[in-house]
Amino acid sequence: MSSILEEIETKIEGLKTSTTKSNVGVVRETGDGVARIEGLSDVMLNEMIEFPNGVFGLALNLEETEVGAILMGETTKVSEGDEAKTTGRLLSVPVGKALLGRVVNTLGQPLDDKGAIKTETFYPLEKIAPGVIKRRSVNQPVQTGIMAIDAMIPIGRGQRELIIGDRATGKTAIAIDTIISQARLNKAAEDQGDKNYRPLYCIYVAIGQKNSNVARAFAVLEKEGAMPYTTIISAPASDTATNQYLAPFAGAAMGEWFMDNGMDALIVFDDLSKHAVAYRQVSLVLKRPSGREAYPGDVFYLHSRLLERSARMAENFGGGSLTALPIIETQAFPLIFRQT
Amino acid sequence: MKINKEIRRLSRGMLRASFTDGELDPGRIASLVDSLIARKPRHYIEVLKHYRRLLRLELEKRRARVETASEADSAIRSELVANLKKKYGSDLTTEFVVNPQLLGGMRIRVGSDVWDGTVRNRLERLQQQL
Repeated sequence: MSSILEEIETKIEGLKTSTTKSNVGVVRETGDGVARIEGLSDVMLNEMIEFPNGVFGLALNLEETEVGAILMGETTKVSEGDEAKTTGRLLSVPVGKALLGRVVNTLGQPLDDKGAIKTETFYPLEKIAPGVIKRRSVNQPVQTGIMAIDAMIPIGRGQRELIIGDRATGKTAIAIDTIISQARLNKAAEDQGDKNYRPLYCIYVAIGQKNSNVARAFAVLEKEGAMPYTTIISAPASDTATNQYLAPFAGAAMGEWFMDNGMDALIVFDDLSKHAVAYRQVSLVLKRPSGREAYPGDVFYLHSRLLERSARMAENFGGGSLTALPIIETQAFPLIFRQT
Repeated sequence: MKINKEIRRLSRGMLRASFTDGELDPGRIASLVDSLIARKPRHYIEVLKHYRRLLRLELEKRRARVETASEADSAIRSELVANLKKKYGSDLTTEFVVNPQLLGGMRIRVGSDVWDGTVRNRLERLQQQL
């Protein structure tokens, strides 16, 4: 008991002498998950901004007199006149093996009632992809378990391969099958005690999907015994556009941890068209200029910098890999309308 | 309110012209506003509104607001004003406010910089950490 008291005492001692300097601004306008803040002269791009009531924002627009920030968490708690503070931190998510077998939201908080996730490492959402020196060419296959793919168009660890097609053509099924196949291979190698087999961990990022679809995917993975090797990141359609926009980056950060620690990971982005729609919404409420179909000009850069983070690392940089399977849904006309 | 480029450029030009030797000059500001109203260019009301906003932000940068829990004595005040002027320039205006909710200590805000040494802030941080 006395040790606890002492601990608190030392903490109070530590706080006593400190006067904090911070940079603040005043919320001038808020709505649609976006706040415009006056002041904040020292804010940096993509920096976290702290609002009262524990709400955080991300500075995306730095203008002459204002800062445009997207809000995370309970956006209704932010009101006009509130004081916003810079934090000097980047948005980061928990990473590590503790996330395997879990369903989490964009910020890495559990959604599956299995208790808190205990990790010590945090990775920033935005990270610059590994350069030429750190990479090597893809040299080991990913067995998707689908014979047609493995025989004709095999994919390798560290590769990125787009899955594209109309709705209800089985894009998600390919991705889920691949995850299940990896789990079986991992388990088989574990059972045989094969030390040379490098297990492939999977991350499934569901963006803008129905909650029922995510639940179904989770049930299938659970039934097939794939969950111990899989993390599901869920940013369903009911989530804010901010969370949907950040979800794939959170997934990439979690995958990068495996890659940086010499392990192999597979990440599925399901799907990037809905991600682009979420980003379009964020950009439009931030009043950024828009291009064709009102998508912002940097939507291509958004996706290319995301996918560029998948890599096969060279031997002397750990030799890990991150394989990406982005999914895109194309919008063809339904047959009924085409006939008329 | 949508502000177009023309309005923004004109009001920014007016702001740039309202300084003499790096300090805001009330005489120049008045003459600028008068001449604009006399000429009545397109969107001049919006220009004036935007100019007013830029001026307000500019003034905020030169205003220090010192909040204390109890009335600060004059020696501390004059020392504080002198130190702040040394840091932020001689045209800084200082305003003293008594706010018992701070419980103790002092909070100084100049533009968007805040130094917070109040008891309330420390208690809040203690609450976060524990």
